[in-house]
Amino acid sequence: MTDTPRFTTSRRFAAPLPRVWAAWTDPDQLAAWFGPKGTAGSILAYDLRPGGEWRGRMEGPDGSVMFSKFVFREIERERRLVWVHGFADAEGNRARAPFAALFPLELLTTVLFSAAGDETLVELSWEPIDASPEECAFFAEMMASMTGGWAGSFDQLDEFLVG
Amino acid sequence: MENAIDLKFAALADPVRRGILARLARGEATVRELQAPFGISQPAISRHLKLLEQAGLIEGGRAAQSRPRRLKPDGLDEARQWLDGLRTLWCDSFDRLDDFLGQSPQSSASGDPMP
Repeated sequence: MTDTPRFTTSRRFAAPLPRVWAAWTDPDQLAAWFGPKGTAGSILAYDLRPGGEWRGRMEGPDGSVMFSKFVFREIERERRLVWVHGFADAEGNRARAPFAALFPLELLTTVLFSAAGDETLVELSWEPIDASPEECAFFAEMMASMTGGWAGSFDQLDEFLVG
Repeated sequence: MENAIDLKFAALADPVRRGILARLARGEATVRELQAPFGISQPAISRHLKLLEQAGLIEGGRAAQSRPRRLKPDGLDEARQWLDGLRTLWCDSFDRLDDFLGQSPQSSASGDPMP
């Protein structure tokens, strides 16, 4: 298996395209919704241009802290955002996910925006960049169980951690 | 306590220690029982167990003689929360974006009057 796994998801939002685009590209609005549930996030830097960085700090419910760094590759107004997604240290240097050694170092994130009447369709894909077969397998397995009732099970967590 | 979490993540960064956790997830085990499948020395296993214990991921059982180790309930909660958060990042974020778009009528930054 040499295929790079790809995670895709899409959602239709009940708001016109310019408004949805603003929610993604205005850091004040972005901070209001981006991030996992149960975490408090803040945006440390947001430079919307190819090569520009979107850096964030996330605090978990237990007080533990993670830093993220996304580097924009393509920006096409109200159509497309592409960035390289990954974790970072507090200084903004690229770092591995500290809680899962096999999680790929970087993921290519592509977000497509299109108007659907008064609504807006957002299509997102996530795929590992230059990842080893083990990292690809870990990513595929982890994302495949998106909707599984996994949260309560130690066994499955251990499988993830062991990769 | 960020320090305690650093200890956990450092403990989880090693494949042998993750293997030990996976083994203990199936039930408690003594040093001797853990040694066999990993094919490393008893002092090496003991060292790994000590790190896992310091990180709060495992604990010793009551049988004093063999001191079997077992997973500590809740020991992996932080790691689990982060991994789970990453897994559901887009689903969670899209839910929140939906709420956000529903709440704020027009961007307050633009100051445009409502139609």
